[in-house]
Amino acid sequence: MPGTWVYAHQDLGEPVHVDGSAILRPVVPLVVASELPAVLGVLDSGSPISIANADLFTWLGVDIDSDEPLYEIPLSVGGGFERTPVFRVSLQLRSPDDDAEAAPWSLDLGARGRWRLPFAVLLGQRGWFDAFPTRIDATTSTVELHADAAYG
Amino acid sequence: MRADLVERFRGRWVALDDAGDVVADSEELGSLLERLEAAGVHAHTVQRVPGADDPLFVGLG
Repeated sequence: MPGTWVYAHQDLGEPVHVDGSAILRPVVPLVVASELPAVLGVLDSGSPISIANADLFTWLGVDIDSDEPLYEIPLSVGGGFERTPVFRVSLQLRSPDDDAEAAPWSLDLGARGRWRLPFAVLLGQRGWFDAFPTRIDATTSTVELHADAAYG
Repeated sequence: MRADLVERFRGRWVALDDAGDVVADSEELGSLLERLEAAGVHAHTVQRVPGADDPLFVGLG
C-alpha cells in the first residue's frame, strides 16, 4: 500500500487559545480490534517513545499485570515517577476516509495508568516516526506508506 | 468536537459515530470499549473529553 495519507488535525475539545482559536492536534485513527471504533493517536516528534492508556492493552492481547514486559522506563506521573512497562504490540493505521485497507505495524508501546489525555495513544520517535515518515504542518499530517510495509 | 458535547461529557470517554454524535460514554476507556463490544454498538472513533480543569498536554513530563 504505497502512497501518502493526509490527516487533518482535529479539535479534541480542549480549551481554546487566548485568541479564541481552537487547539488542533495531529491525530491519526488507530484500529486495535476490528469490532471496535478507532482510538486516537497523537503524533509527537518530541517524544522519544510511544505510550498508551493502560486500558488499551487488553485489546492488544497483553495482560499488563502478568505478562513480562520487554523493559520498563521511568515516567513522571502526578508529580512522582512510575516504572512504565513496555510491550511489543500490533496496531493498524486507518486511512483518512476509511476507504482503504488499514496499514498494520508493530511497535514497542508503554502502558501508562491514570491516563487523562483526550487521546489514547501518544506516538513518538520510537514506534511511529521510525516506521512512518511524516510531515506535520499547522493543519495536516502527511504520512508516507511504503510498498515493503516492513512496519516494525 | 462540538462545543455542546464538550460541555455535556467533560471528563468522560466517548464513542462518536460518523456524524460526530456521542453514542456511548463511560468514565474509563476500558469500560467504554467493553460496553461497545458487548452491545455491538457501531462507532467511528473514541476519545476522552477534556475535563474543565485538565492541564494542557505539551509533552511527556
